[in-house]
Amino acid sequence: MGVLGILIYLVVLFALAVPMGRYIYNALEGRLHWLGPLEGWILRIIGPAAKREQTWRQYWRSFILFNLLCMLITYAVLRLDTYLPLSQGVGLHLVPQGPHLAFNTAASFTTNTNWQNYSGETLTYLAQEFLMVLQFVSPALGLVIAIVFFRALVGRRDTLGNFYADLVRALVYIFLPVAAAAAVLLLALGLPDTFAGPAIVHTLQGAVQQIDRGPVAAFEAIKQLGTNGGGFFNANSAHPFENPNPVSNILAILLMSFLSTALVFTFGFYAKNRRQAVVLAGVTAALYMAGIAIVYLALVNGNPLIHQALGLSAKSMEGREVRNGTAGTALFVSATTAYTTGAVNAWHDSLPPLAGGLPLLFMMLNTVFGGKGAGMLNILMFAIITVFVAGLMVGRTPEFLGKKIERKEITLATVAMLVHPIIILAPTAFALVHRVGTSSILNSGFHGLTEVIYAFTSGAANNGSAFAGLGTNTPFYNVSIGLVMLVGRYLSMAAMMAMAGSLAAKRIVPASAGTLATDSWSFAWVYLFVTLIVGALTFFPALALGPIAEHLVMMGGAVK
Amino acid sequence: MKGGAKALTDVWMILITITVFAVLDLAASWFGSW
Repeated sequence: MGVLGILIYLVVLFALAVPMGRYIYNALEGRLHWLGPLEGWILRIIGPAAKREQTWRQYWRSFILFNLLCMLITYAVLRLDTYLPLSQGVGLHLVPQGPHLAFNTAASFTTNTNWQNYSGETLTYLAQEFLMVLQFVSPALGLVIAIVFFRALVGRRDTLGNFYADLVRALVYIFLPVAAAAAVLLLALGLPDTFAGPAIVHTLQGAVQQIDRGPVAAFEAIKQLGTNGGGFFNANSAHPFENPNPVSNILAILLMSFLSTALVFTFGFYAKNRRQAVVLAGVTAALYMAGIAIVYLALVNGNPLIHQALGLSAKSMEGREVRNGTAGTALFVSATTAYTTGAVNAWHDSLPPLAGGLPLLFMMLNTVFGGKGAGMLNILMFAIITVFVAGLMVGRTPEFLGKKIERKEITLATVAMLVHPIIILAPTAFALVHRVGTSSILNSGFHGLTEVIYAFTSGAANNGSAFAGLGTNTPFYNVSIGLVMLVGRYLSMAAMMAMAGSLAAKRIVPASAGTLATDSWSFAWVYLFVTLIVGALTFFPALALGPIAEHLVMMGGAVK
Repeated sequence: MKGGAKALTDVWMILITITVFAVLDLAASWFGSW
């Protein structure tokens, strides 16, 4: 697959986005019934709690309690894993997770981050399956919060739905059927799915080799679809059993990207303003495509120092799987960070500086479609900030979809926006000056700095991809990145939910001559620059000292 | 690490988790009151 493959992928992605956006809208508004018996059965188990309409505060409390429960149960499962059945086989692997690591893993899978300071091979199948359940639940949890915000924006209402009913609908109508279909496709493409344990083979040289297997196809489907990214194996999507060929590679990319893209159009259906969705999707798609181009060109151009030393003109190949191709790698690297999946099919630490820096930028922006729900909330947060900034610039009333943006909304949007850079830059700064952080950095200079900032950015953006080159399975990194993941996911969501409560109580003001049109392309330009200036410039000094400096040094002909 | 110290670490991790979520719940109330 080359550039043409990338273009075909983009066409398919956007062709799927509109119908899927309508499907999500219908699913969450209770208009779908084709899996009614399953939905009804689960709702009956939950009981009357799933029937009451909830205010934003009640919705948030149910949400946060459910997340707490998920995290505590996961922690217990991981700590007790050595006593659980379904060991992965002959017992050479099973390594119990200590308290710090279990805290990190539990936070990671609850927050849809899926950062892994462990190898999947070290868990029992039962623990792996349990983590797979969270891979279904955590994206659905993100999705329902975005839906609540949509509802608050488009009408005047006191209640915003029911958390349990929304969660069940998201799981039953969206994640379960699509993941099941994807798992069957992945099985056909050669992924194993078995509890039979590892295969023991005798090599031609006479050695005995253990090849780990497991219920990989089912795991892989929701890993990508739910923008989770936590691998069944340590090598993640570079492992031939997770991603065996170019077809599974492009399927993985499509799975991780199409729901979050569709969600922008779901917003359009809620707002009854498809043009608004097209404007937001268009500007976000432009950012996404620019990122893909940068990664692709950086890989194609390779490292000039190698060209000079060997007299070869070669692409950058270190840390890459040949079977995925240059375009397949560039697209995966871009998609996994734009959509905050975090799966990796290449070793990001080995990529040329710009190809490694771009994923970092995508996670810092956190608005290039993003993860399920969380990304869309960030897009709307920046849209509200843009409305305010643009309104001040041209003297128009700050309104978004007829709702007045006042002091409370802009204060909360600012809080939600500032959480991200603070929880990335503050712990990075600490890790770079204290021995607990510096002692496990494996590279010196600009690259070492990038390794640390990438780790905290990945945690804050709930991405989970690792740059690697940093020993993060230490008490300091396990606990600090764990906390960054929790604050990164929930604090900005808390601010956005409070804003949803405030917006829902407002009546819709009819558009007047003083209203700034938000569904115009001129608004899209302002939105783009606000996102870049506010989102990217905050991180510019860190980027300048990391990948940009490394790139300039490389182009200047020096090693470091 | 000895058994007692291990148990203490588990207690700490669980306490940190519950505290973080409690603070997040309070944060939403606080944001709502602005």
